[in-house]
Amino acid sequence: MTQTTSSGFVRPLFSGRLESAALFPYPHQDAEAAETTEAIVATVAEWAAHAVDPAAIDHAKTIPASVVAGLKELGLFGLTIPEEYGGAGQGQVTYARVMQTVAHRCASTVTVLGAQLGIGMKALVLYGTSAQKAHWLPKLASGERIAAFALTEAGAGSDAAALATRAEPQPDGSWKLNGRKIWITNGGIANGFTVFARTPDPAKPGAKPSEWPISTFWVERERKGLTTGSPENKMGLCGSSTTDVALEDVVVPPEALIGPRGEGFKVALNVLNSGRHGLAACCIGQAQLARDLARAHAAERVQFGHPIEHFGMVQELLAGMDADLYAMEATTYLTAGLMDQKRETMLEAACCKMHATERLWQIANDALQVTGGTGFMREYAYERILRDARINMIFEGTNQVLRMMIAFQGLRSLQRGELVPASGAAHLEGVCSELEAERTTLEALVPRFAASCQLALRTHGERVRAAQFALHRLADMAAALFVSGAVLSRASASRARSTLDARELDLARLACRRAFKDFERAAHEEQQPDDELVARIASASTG
Amino acid sequence: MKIIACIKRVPTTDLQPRVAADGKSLDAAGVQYMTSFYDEIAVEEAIKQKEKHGGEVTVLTIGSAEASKEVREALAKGADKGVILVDNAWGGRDPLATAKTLAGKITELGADLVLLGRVGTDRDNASVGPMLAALLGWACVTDVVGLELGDGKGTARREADAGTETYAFALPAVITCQKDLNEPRYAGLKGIMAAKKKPLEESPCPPATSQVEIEKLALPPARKAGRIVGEGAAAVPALIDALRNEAKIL
Ligand SMILES: Cc1cc2nc3c(=O)[nH]c(=O)nc-3n(C[C@H](O)[C@H](O)[C@H](O)COP(=O)(O)OP(=O)(O)OC[C@H]3O[C@@H](n4cnc5c(N)ncnc54)[C@H](O)[C@@H]3O)c2cc1C
Repeated sequence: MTQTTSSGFVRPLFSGRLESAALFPYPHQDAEAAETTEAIVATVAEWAAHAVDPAAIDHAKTIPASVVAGLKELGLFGLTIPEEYGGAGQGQVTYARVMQTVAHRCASTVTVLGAQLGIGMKALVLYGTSAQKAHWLPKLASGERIAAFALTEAGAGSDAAALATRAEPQPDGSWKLNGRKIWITNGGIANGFTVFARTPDPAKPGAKPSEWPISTFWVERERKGLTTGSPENKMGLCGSSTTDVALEDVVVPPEALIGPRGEGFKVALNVLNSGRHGLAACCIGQAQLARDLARAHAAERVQFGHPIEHFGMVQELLAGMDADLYAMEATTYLTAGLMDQKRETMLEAACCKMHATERLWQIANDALQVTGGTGFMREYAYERILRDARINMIFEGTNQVLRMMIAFQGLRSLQRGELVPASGAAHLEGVCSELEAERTTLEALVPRFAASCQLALRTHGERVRAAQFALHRLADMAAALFVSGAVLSRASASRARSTLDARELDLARLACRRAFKDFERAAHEEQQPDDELVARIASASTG
Repeated sequence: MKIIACIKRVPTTDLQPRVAADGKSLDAAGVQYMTSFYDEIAVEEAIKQKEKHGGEVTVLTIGSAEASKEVREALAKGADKGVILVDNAWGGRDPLATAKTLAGKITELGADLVLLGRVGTDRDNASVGPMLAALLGWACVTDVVGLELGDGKGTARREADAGTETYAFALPAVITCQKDLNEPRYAGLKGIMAAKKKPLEESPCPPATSQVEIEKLALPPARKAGRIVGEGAAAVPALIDALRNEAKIL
């Protein structure tokens, strides 16, 4: 029974274990930290309500200088930068709350912050030397300079490791960079870029550039040869600046190398692992906005002599939004708390992003449905929310790539013997008695999931990495187990504080049931797979 | 310059008020609180004057211990210390009782300038400022939209019905603030972090003997639902008829 929690909650599921200690108790900020968070969130909400006009930003396809100045004056550009480097030193919980709060007002505006704090300067914070941090972070913290994260290239999207930008060492120790990055958020406004480029491996002098390992560089806009393109014309997040970043014989000093030479791909993955958690928080904010608008409309709009909220098919949509939001918050703030405790959260953060981005899309769509033709009209926010929500399932790891990661990481731990299949039943410790039925259901699903993992390994063996139909199902099952576990943890914490009222209990129950249905859908597909049909149909030419 | 800004914790302005079972007070359930709008202007002015002339800003309130939230907000914006005179029945005080308690504390703390909002957004009495000045025997200008301070004296502008009035006065003085005086700032992260380390004193409030008591609170009667008589020009005769014969306003 004595298992460490260092591998999080999701990974041990693959061996049929419910890691109670990775979910319980639901993390809480101490009173002082919570007071600071609330004060920050209150200020940010008030500022955003007065200073940010999301419709105008969407329409103008740019964020007014006054809004960027406001973010700067509030100090938000330094929210998570350590205090010793001029930031506010806040952790992931506060960061997520702020992201959620700004996102509740404007998805474009929050993207500026996310690109700065979530990914743009994250490599410096995680891997920079103290001299590098002291040199660059204070001006980023004050908002005097803004950061961007430049990984993607025309030939390297999901397959980021295929990037072709090169950095060649010069005799004086400096580096010369050449390449072109595309779709870089904050591209038009950033003063500093985290750039990933291939560097020759001194141990393999004859290797082709495409085989060189990747390194990370901090490249300032002022460097000669760096240019950014005109803003992309996008479907959503229209106010957020997305541009090319071209590097033509850009020379940077030796100190511009962040982290160990040749370890850049690891840097990128680690930055994205934490960065994508912030996206989940943004999704909560936008989903709340859509839900609030739809609820108000459903209460007011009268058809057939009743407000439409009276009708069952509308109620299904409204209640689903509330339950999904409860679950999104549960996973996101559970994971945020674990991140602040420096616990392992790679797969949990991926589940948060996958779940929250897809539920936001559903909620935005349902909100529009509840609003009928009104929702289709551009003078209302619904269509903007829908457009803005779409990108979340694509960037910072597409949801397909995340599914591959979640499922394959777990299976590989089994293959390598890092996880040993559990022999006994799974038990979740710490769930309040009101949710016993849901706990029992979850406990019963875990051995079934472990059996599905074994089936996939038996069927596909060493080639399981490419067995995407199976990976898809396993990732969906794992995420459903995580979501229901997080919901049980959150509600049990409310129970422990005596704040679990009838409504929260209802929300927790419905949220669990929806997660269980997701599990059963994947399990059903496993029993009656369409895999062969799908493969045949997809690979046939349609000419 | 020693400046004291007096603030009051009041229900948020979007509150849908409900009368409590005693028929004399608001039902506290679900009520959210904020600093009274005009008191935020007073805090902003205090900080601005400090930034210009140097000195120290103390934020003073009578309220429950939870008022620390509003006081910390003022500290986060730049005030230097906070004082809460703890009275859990602060909402029931009459203006004179409030003014007397404030006058006692202000005398103890000492001040060159006391700033208050022109009116509390909960009760709309607009009385505490002038009463406080009378009790202290200090100069008082109300509804101020412009304030200049010099050596031991100042001038204050107020918008009256007839035009703008400018007053000269000697310090110490009591000023009540009107909304055009300034635009309150947002507390930045730095301020919020710094506020945690600023002194916040909580002391018991001397008992208040209100001379005016609330006998009864009642919500305004619900308005009757409107009626749309029709659309476009064709509806005009019906509208005129309704206004003349039903509403009897034509
Ligand atoms: C608005 C916007 C902002 C962006 N900001 C940044 C930024 O700041 N910095 C940055 O570096 N990048 C940024 N990007 C790039 C973004 O991260 C990529 O778009 C994303 O990683 C996906 O790459 P791609 O678009 O090339 O899609 P592709 O990789 O071509 O994928 C296309 C489709 O194929 C699927 N797919 C691909 N490979 C597999 C596989 N092996 N198995 C199953 N399915 C697969 C994908 O899931 C997707 O559905 C941004 C993009 C946009 C649109």
